[in-house]
Amino acid sequence: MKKQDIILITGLLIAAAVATLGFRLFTRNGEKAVVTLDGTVILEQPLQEDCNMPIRSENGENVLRIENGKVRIIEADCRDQICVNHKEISKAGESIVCLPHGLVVEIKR
Amino acid sequence: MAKKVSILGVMTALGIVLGWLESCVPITLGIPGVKLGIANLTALLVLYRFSYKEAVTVSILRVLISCILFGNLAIGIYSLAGSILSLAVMAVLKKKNVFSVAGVSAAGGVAHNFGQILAAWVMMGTAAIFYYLPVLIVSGVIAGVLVGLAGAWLHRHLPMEIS
Repeated sequence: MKKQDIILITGLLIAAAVATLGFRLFTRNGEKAVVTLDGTVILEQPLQEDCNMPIRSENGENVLRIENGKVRIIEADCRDQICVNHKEISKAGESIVCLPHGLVVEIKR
Repeated sequence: MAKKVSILGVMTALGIVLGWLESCVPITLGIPGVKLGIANLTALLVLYRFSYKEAVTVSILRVLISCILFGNLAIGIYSLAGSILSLAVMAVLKKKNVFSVAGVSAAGGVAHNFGQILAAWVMMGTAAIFYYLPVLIVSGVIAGVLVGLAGAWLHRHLPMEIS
């Protein structure tokens, strides 16, 4: 690797750090979980109420769980299971995405 | 011409197999889009041995065929967006002749992930996806450097007839 490569890589990593910092600064506690399927909002659920909610569509099924103000996907019939392995979310702006099903769970204020 | 077509065909096939192999060893950190992307090794090599045009062709064919074989249409669209943006950025940086293969590939890795975020933003209609930008930049740099080092090694050692 050349010196220029190191400069480029450092620049990219700084950009990532700045973006992280920016997101951190604007993070507040969330009020509700908003579920979007292929761009359409299909569900808004307050974080105060615990629930287990299956979300079915022609793309597949995901099961959403809200517990103690934290949201996660506990089950999905997709191939990669990335949404199931995702850490639980609770802060405004955080999200869990299931790419194969076009599903986004986002925390909003 | 026949030689070129056959080399590009082999590269496409190699890319499909590498992509399949990688999908057999899933490393999921619970973040969509974080992966090594070893299949892009073939696109990188074709970019250096041929040109942008050939690299894009090989990439598009690889994504389409992988999509039909193993597939999920949504994932295919994200890959396609990522690959095209990544190759565009790498072609420009390569032309500038300032960076080595690893640097060009690192920028390509980041561009790939950025392209996927843009595609997901359009397809899912939510900006929530940008939440993943920082971690996808870092993973793009790491994956890009690793693929780039492998690509540089191949570029040095593969016989020059393959071009």
